[in-house]
Amino acid sequence: MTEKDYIDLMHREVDGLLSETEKVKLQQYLNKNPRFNDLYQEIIQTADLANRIDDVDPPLNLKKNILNSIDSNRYHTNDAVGRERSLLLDWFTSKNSRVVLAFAAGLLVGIILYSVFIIDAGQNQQLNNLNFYGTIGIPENVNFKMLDQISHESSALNGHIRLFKYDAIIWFEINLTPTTQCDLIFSFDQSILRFSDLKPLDYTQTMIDNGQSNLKITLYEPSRFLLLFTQLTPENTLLDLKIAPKSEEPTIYNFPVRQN
Amino acid sequence: MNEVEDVYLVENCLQGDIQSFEILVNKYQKPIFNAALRLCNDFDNAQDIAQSAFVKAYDKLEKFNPKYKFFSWIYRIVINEAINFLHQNKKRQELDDNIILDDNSPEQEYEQSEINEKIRDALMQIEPNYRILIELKHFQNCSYSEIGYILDIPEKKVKSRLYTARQALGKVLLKIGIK
Repeated sequence: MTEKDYIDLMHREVDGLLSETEKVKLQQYLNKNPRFNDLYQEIIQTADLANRIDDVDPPLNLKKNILNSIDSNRYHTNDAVGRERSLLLDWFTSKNSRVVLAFAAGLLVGIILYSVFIIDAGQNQQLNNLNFYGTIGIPENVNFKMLDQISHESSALNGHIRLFKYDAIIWFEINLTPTTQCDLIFSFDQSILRFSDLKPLDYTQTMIDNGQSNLKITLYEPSRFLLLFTQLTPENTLLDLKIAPKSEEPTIYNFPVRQN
Repeated sequence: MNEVEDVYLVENCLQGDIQSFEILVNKYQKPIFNAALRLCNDFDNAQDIAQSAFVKAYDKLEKFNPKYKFFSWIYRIVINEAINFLHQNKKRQELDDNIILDDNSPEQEYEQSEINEKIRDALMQIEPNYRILIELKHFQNCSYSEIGYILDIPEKKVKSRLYTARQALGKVLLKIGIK
């Protein structure tokens, strides 16, 4: 280790970041090189003095001035729209609406072009060579992506579940038809993921139970909805889903969620 | 849980719940104000800087990325506001007398206030960039990676600049006779 490395250890010791081994190494170095003791003491004293300044209370009217300076209606939602919203209205007013609109527009154009391609397959060979990404509005490296999808087929429950991710927002698109009462139990690390919202895509009768260690959704009839999560830290994690119909053994699916 | 609570409060704000923003102001006005005060060393200017930082944070709430702590994010804003202020007002300002002190004995209060004043004085004699690092590390107890996010510099640079900042502060403290 160089002199610079030991100076780094001194600063990190002041910040309480040294392991026991590193502390011993540093002490041994200081014992062998007393001239660095002065530097070490200076660093400790400076840090100690810097830590001594007390906080003062802010002026009593600071909060009032702040609240008077902001436009309290800036993020105000329309009172006429109830909690139960259609997908279209909700997504048009959400911050992800541009992504969704771009995707929908791209899909439409893609379908039209694809049908043209099928009809004129022999005459438009050059279409084969086109990269559609740039022309249909979705940049190639966009962070919007589908991570996973599963289909569930049993006597008690049929349908599919898709998992999407956009930056720190993760959502399940759930389209399931139960023939009996069915629980969907999501288990996840709550320090990494946080359940945000359930957005119905259709009329959906569900019950939500947001517990300490998991999220339970109970389905009673055909249900289409989105389940939104926020990723709190950029870590890879696993989200488990237990599908537990009343009349069947449960099935467990694992959904890995990777950071961007 | 603190960070989760903050993300929840921000989401509520974005749904139009102004009281959630009020909770955030209650939570962070003291550290934000003190950060501004230590950077500009003037009570009134610190109030303006802190107020401006919260107003800007409110206007930019949609840009808040929940991957990071709300506190680090608003801290970034107040640092930028303070730096802008310092550039526009290059001369030092005298510390305002209206500082509320702890409830110690008069002698303790005097000694503490004298030391505090000398340390504040020393802080104002080092470069603003170093002052910011001392503020973030010693007063806000931010980790190196948080400081890197706030100042938008790599963690390695945070360490080396912090070490230099401590040296610079140490020299001034020695010069003014406080060490």
